[in-house]
Amino acid sequence: MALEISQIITSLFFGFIEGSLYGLLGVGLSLALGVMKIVNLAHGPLAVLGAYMLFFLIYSLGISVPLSFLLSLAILATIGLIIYWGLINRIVTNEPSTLIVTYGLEIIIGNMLLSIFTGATRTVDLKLGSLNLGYFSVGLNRILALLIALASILAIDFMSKKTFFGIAMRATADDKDAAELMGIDTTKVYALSYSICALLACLFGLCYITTHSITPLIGGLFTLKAFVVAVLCGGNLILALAIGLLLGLSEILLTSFLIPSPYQNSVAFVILLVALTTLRRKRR
Amino acid sequence: MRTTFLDPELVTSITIIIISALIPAIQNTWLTSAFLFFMLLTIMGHSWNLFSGLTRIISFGHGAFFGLGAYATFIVVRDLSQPFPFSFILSLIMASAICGSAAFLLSYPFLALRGLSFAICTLAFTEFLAIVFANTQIIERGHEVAFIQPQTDIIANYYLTLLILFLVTMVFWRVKHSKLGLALIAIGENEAAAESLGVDVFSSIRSSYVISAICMGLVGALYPYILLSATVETLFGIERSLIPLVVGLLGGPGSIAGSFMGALVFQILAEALRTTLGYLHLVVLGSLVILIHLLEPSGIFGIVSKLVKKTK
Repeated sequence: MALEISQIITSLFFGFIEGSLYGLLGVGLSLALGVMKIVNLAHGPLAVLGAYMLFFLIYSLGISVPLSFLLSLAILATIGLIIYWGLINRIVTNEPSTLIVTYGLEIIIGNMLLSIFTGATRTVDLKLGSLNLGYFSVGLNRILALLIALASILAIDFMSKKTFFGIAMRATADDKDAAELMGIDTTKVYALSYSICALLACLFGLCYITTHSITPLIGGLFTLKAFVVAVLCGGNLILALAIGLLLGLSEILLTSFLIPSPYQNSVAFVILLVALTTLRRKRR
Repeated sequence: MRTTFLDPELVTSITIIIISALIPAIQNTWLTSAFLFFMLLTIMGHSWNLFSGLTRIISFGHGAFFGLGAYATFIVVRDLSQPFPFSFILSLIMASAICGSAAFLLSYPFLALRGLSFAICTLAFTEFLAIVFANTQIIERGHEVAFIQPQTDIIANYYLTLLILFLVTMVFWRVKHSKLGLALIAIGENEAAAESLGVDVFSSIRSSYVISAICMGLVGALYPYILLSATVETLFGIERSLIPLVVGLLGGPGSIAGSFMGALVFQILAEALRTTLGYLHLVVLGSLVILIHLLEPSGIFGIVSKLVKKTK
């Protein structure tokens, strides 16, 4: 019986970490969905790109770990800006077009990484050691990822509520034309929001590659999981964290006790299909 | 509505089909198999165009029907050991029945959605099927799907594919020039307006979804006879959903001759790039989708018809 309890506690704990990462992933997509009304299908692939960027900087260029973290974030934010100005800005109001263009981006990023880094699984080992918590021990890299995820979600929530840019962003999301009449440069707001999305995607990618192993084409799966969170949270970022936790916990608990582990990813799909077909009925 | 058989789209399509019929006479194995894949691509393009091209409801998940069609063939070949023509016809019937009924059932939850919700739902459903098929014992050896070699040669496969291409093209043409086709185009232009003019939106898009799924299932059913083996990844992989989209968009959404042109360009590019670039050929295809969509949303067919108008 003691074994059972320790197993449950371990699953809960790892589910919590996994869930906070999903929350972080969902917050980024939710921002793009809320502010620009676009589904950024390139969100997951951007996360994978960020993860591989870290891998490349550390193992190929030999740059120190903290600097590589910052560099990958900066590069991804810049890539986000470039993608916005080069592609998204021209079609931002046309929903089918944004779907097609970001889908194209997904294919481009995934296959580019596949041809550079091959399909082998990659991971970044931070060599941080682990922490013994009585029932189980947990790697400090996971604790770090958890802290980064929670801190970034809170920071983005703070930014959108208290700073000038955040207020401008929410005003643009509410009514683009009215925001423009109030003197807000909505194009700039969109560009910066997209860049922040890319930054958040990258943060997730960094947390993911330091705690899991990653393959180039996993981006589509990330986008779908982010979409589960974004659809259910409806723009509320703290709720996004809660939904992410729910998803992470249900994945880990179900695969530990009920269903075989290859089915882990299908949990998200089932939630997504049920949520979309029941909650969003008749919505465009 | 009167339709004429001198419709330029139909004339182009039939011309290409007749040219394709003459290709095996050259007796060049490489050319024959290249044209075989060209025809398969065209059917996929027709399938995507019939639904997403006309109604502008973008589907990212046509790969699901491809996979289901291929599994239909696998089950027929394995469990009902019939001599060649019967097994072939049986698997086509199986694939149509499975894909048609799957699309019919899926239409109730999915077709209430539009835009991004629909696109994501189809994508998620395909991924879900991939996970289920990769982990269940419908096939014996997990990821490897080894097909029993049917007693056919490439020429028989070629003409059967050609026959199906011809049938699918005629069905597409009939649908496009029927009341249903007009309804679909109207829905694509402005759904609310179409509904206010008395178009039964749901049943129209459902019919088109079912027909489109059957076409995709037929390609899936043909595929094992041509490649003889497959894996779950190749049957449900993202490429299977990507290819119809690329062919449809390249050629021109909603156009019949466009599917042929898109498939031709796709096939030439794929043949030229696959060997030299490896996975980068998909990068080129992805870029092509973005470029064509941004520069010329009506696709190659749009460019060609503009040129024809200019020269007149």
